Amino acid sequence: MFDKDFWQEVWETIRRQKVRSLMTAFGVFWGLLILMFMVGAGVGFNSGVTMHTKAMSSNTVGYFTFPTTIAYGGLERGRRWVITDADIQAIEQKFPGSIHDQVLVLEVPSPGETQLVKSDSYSDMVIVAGATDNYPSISPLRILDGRFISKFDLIESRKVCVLGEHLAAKLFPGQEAVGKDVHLEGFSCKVVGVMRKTSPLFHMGPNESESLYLPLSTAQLLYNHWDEQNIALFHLNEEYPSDKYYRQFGDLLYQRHSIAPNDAEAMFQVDLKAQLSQMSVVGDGINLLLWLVGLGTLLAGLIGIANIMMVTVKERTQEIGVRRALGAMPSAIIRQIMCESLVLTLAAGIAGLVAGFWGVYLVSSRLATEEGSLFDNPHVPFIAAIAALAVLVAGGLLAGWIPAKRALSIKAIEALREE
Amino acid sequence: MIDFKGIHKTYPGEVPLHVLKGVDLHIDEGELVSIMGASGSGKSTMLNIMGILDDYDEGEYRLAGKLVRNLDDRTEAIYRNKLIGFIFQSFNLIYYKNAMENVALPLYYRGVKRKERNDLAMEYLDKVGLAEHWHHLPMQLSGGQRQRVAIARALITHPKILLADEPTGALDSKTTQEVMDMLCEVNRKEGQTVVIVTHEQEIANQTDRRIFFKDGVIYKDER
Repeated sequence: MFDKDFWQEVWETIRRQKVRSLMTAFGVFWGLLILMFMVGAGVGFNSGVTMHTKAMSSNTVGYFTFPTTIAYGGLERGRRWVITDADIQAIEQKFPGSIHDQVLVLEVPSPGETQLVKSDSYSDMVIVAGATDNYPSISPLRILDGRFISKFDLIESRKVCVLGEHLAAKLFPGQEAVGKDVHLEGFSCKVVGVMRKTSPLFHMGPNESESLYLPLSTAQLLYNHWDEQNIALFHLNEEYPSDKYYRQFGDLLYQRHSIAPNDAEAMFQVDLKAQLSQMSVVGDGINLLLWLVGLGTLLAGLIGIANIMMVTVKERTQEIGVRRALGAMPSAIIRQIMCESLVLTLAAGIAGLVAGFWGVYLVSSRLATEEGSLFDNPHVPFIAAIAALAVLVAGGLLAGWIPAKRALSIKAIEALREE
Repeated sequence: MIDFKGIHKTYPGEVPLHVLKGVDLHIDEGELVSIMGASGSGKSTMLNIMGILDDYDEGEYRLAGKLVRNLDDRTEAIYRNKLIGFIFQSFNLIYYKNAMENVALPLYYRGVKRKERNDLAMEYLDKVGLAEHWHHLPMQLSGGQRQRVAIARALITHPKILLADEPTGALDSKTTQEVMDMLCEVNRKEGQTVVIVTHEQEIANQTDRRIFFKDGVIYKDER
């Protein structure tokens, strides 16, 4: 039955000793608050990785060409090379039916080299690339205005382009870029879209928010790289698992271009399945780390509470002696101390939970409006929050119980004498 | 009321301290007794054993006819609450409770409801002349006022025995006399047994019986 008088006594004791009560409560509050943030960050990060990779087919291999670093077959080191249409045909010949779809990119005039891009009033040095229409299927981006390159742009080698949002803002400040012309060295093209890179983790071609993308065929035509591309990604059919074949495709390219088999820097080869798996491991690792940090904070909070409870109950040993001298039952004293601890830890714990949930919700709603964030929907699983609260409350109770038991185990007169 | 037979008490340690060496003492109901002796003579230990705040090693102690030996914590608490009132030299008031709450505290442990115990506490504070100061915390009261609060707290449960350990040790002479007057009045009017440990002859002279301790034994018992 609810004993109003008892709870009034508990409340009065808590209320009259504000500093002690606040110190205890703050330990619980802070421990839970930090844990909530850590857990929320872990969940948000994992969810973010999943979100950023969901668009990518995992049975995909990718090849990025770079200058050779080893002289081989009578050819000098530092030789630039590219993947040609003939290379792709050779792969299809050797591994028939292996390629389901392909995404091709060509940086012009050469990989990593910037060029001058102008509008009527402004100019900037940026990277220009040609890409196939299916490029967005492999690299997370969002079209803010207009469209991406289409099949017809490729077929007809149209002089159109898609601008990264930052480039569009520089060339056409305060204006819509779509429909305007931009001028590159020797030709102009019409802007058909503005895009934004949406993942901080991945981009296959040059940074989509900063660069200019042309149809691949247009780039090949205008820069005299007829059938060339420096990035090729192949979605493979199921019977060709990427982990088994990505090396074999790479070896074939090495042979065809007379590149030293041990020249690892001449080409970056990637098996997306392995990459995603690694990313998942990293995600799990980070999540685990955040949990550990959070639990460490919780443990520190718990130790803090235990310390405070130990000290405060020890400080109250004389008071306990007085209460015993006045006829308090040992069980009444234990009950009172435990209930004081329970009220404090529970109240502070719930405050910590509410603040944690609220804080994580605020961060989450802010991230929802911020594209390209590493985190997606950070939140705290309710069961984890309740478990953490239970651990803290149990810790607080135990921390109160131990010194109270000790205070009761000594003779009343010794408790009275304790300073 | 209080019956000691061959009570021994030794404090353990590297050199065990044999404080009480076979004390025989009988105090009747309604007596006003003082216990005197030098420091370390065992007088406070006697009082603590009487109040069941401390235990003894050998002998037999009967309180109100009941043998006090190997009592469990619960029974000890009941005895203290129902039979005994304590007054300490250092008052031992709970610092964060006001005068009224301190006085009412023993009744809380008897299960008396808040309003009833507060009303009664006010009545006792009035008896000791502190009704106006009911809301003051101990630190806001003078030494004499604190001791009067402690006396009110000791009396509120109508204990059969009032045990006072150096109740005037921290007070000036005027306040000392006020406190002694109060204890004597309680003894005379209420008929409660009052045992006062003191080292002041003037205090002892105001009691009906004076017991002198020396080296753990009673060497003089005069009326």
